[in-house]
Amino acid sequence: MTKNEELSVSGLCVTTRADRLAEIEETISNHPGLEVHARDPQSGKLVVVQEWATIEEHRKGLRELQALPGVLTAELVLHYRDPGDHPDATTTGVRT
Amino acid sequence: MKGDLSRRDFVKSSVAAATAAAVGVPIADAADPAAIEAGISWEKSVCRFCGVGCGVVVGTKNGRIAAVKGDPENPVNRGLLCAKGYANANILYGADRLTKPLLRLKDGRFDKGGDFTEVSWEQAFDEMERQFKRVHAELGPTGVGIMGSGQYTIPEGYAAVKLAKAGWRTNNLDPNARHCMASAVAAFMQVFGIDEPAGCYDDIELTDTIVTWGANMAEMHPMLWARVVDHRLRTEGVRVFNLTTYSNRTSECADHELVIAPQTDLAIWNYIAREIVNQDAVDTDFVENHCVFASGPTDIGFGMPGNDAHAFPAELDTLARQRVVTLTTEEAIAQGLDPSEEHVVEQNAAVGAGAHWLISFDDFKKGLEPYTLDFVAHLAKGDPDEDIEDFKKKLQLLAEYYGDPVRKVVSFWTMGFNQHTRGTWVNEQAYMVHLLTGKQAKPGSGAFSLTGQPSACGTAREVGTFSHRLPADMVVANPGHRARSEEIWKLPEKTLNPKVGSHITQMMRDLESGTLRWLWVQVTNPFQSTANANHWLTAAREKDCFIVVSDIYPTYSCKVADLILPCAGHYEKWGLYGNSERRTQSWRQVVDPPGEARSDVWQMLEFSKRFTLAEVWGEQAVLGLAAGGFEDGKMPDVLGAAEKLGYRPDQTLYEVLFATPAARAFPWPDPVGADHGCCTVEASGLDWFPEKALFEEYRQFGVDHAHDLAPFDTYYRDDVRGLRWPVVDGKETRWRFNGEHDPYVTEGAQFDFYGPALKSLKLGTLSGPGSGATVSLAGKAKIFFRPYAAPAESPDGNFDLWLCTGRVLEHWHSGSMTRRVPELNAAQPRAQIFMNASDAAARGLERNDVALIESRRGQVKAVVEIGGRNRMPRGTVYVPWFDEGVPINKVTLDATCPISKEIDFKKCAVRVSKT
Repeated sequence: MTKNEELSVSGLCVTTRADRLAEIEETISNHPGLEVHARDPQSGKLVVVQEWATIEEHRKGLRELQALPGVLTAELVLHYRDPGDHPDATTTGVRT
Repeated sequence: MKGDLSRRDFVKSSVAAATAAAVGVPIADAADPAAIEAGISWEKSVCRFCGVGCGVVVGTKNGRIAAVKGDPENPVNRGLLCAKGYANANILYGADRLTKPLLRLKDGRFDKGGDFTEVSWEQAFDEMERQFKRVHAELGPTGVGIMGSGQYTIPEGYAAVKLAKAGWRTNNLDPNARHCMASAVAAFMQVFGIDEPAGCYDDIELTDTIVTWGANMAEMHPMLWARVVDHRLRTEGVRVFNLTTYSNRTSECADHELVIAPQTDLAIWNYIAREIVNQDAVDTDFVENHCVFASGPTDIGFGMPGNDAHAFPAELDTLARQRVVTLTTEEAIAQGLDPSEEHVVEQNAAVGAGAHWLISFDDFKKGLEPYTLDFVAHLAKGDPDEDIEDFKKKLQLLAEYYGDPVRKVVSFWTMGFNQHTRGTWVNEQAYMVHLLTGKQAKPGSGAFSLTGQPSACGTAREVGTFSHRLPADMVVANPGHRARSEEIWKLPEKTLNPKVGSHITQMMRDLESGTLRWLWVQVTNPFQSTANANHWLTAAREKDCFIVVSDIYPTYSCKVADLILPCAGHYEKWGLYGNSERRTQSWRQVVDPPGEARSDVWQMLEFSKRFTLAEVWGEQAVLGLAAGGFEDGKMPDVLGAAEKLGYRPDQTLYEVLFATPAARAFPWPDPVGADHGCCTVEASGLDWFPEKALFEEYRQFGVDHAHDLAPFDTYYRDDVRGLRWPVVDGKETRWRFNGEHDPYVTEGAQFDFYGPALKSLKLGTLSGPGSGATVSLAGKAKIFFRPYAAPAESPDGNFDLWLCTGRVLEHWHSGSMTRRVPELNAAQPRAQIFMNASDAAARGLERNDVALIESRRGQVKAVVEIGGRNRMPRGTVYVPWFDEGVPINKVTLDATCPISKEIDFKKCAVRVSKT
């Protein structure tokens, strides 16, 4: 991917049973496309970043997280789409 | 550090930091979250979808919304959003946004059979005006109307009320919110004398028990549901009970699920009340000090047309039940009658169905007597494959939860109660149980009606965009309320029309009968959302009528329009919404509307320039008008009185209603809008701020009338995330009617149900009112006895299944916005027919087969789903209505609650077959 391609990244919050946090963090870290960036052992929360190319890929990742044993919830918190140099992305919706 | 990171790593690290900040997780080694925000300007806002009212932070870059995140400072959603919430930006950027007015033209002239052609705003308004004046001259004010919705911003709804009621003197203004929560409104007025919930969302974390009644909150109110689930998981002893007609996602996190037969909620409430009374679980102090008992007529019909003039032949048997009903065995038992006899009941109270009177506690108890565990369990069990004893145990447990003197209980409901031919009754029954047990208007306890649209409360209800309403709970039929509105609006006496207008379903019926021939549809999609749609679609195209649809996309309703007007979307205009917990929230315009799209406020203001007072304030014929001080069938000429107020007959409605000296005193530019545009101002070159002027004028209705809102600028302060009204001395109110929290409660009182409406009644018995004098009920709430009543239509040998309709998580309303968001559309691309596997097999159907669904009124095809999110009991099918490719409202029945006039979208009889 060149510097200027469109880039889609989601920030997810995964709530786990606190006693399984480390084990689940490891499972997620081994999953392609998912990275654990922060954890809170007290609340059992993990901050997971997902990069995706297609919507289906994004949804699949979220579904897989939700299905992991010991995961109570997995929710999308922030969705960032950097349009890069994609021409349509910067012109749509602008007053003509 | 920034220089060492590739763009991808840098973005990820920043997303992680922003996510961690939103959910309160400490993070050490991340980039500054502000880094991805370089060049983005952030703005607090509110979601434009459901009635929860989540806070959204919107990021703008280069004139386009680049990012959306949950607002961590908003107490409603605390930084989280559902799948739809993230689509708040993308809904503006669908490929087919409307950017030019489109008029049906043939050979350069308007023609109902012509093709949609781009025209200028001036040409569009010219034809709209010509058609209005033609219809108005023939039919008077009742021949024209506006359909709005709970998606109106507060200033938009207020402009619509003023234009229709004060300007055109018609009460034919009604919102799609009628289909959403009119039953809740009617019950609030009947029980408390004032609209909207006593409690607030804080109740979720303060309660021990959450009972959802016909409300699939996991899909329909996901961020509130997230709070429920969080509280349930963290707090010992908290229990969640889901009452529903099919298994759904809400059941997954519930401790107990009760699958009930359609309409039997009425019987279940009475069973619970009977248990509470028989087991001495009544909070006697609360009831004696703050409540009275009441009842009303039972022969009220089903809100269907009283004649067969436009009926399809197949509809005649259902329609006949509007006039005469033969009680079922269960209804006879439920009304305390001899079930071995036939009871043929003329529906004499179909008009005036909301009448009610006081009864004694002994009569109330007598009414409840038939609702034994055995009777109710056999009537209400909704899954034929469930064991009756298991069902009974759950019913008993539910009654124990409500009756337990120490357990706090919150009951949530939305469409399952409201869209119900006895919707007002079943809302009243929820208050019946909460009042009997003293579990109302207290932190952690209360019956809590949720709403479906973002400003169903804030605009449709509080502003009063209903055919019977004026702002701040006032009604057109009340001379005092009209006088107060005329005073605030500076109108001559008797400008306002005292005759209640047509509700939204009636407006459709009026189109068909030819008594309404000019219609402006704003912020809604009624030809997809109104039941029994084949009638209305045909009428719109074939009758001599002119239909204008204002929208941001070409919707299903646009297809039957004559003129389409392109609108500014949510973040392309200024606005305020009010959510389900009375919280008023605001946003600024952050991007410009595309092309020639314009705000709805601008459209109304501009169109109002085309009417002089002489054209609309002269004598007007109003069929059926009969009110004190008015000549029958007429509204008087008020032009003479108008001149005494300083108006001239050649002045326009724009000058008299909108660009008033008071309104023009709110200048633009305004410091609250620094660095922001206002498309309403810019399109007309104004030097004043219409949205603010409208809000500030509207606010006068509620101040000192228990509906106090804060000044416009307060809601835009950086440290404010909405305020729950009444806002008195700058302080919001969390629990109304509660002396510790509500400034309107009489000094020293613990509770005070001070709502003023319908608080003077006669004493009677279960069979009718007595002849004595009326009694004042100031400060009291009413505990109603309401019996079980069978639905308007039930499955039979010909149409053998129940049909229930509703929503899915990914799509909002008619899907006109969410279906244009690729993420959401990919998740749920089409409406399916959810059915039980054995029902499917019996019809030779498998998953993904195309099936035909037929009723007496119409048919559609849809793909069969036998698994998935909704697990249906045998005998019931569910079809969501978001998909215009599966217009299920061609099949549904337009029976309504006779009191609230809200359609029952949850039950009619259908058959399903293989195509």
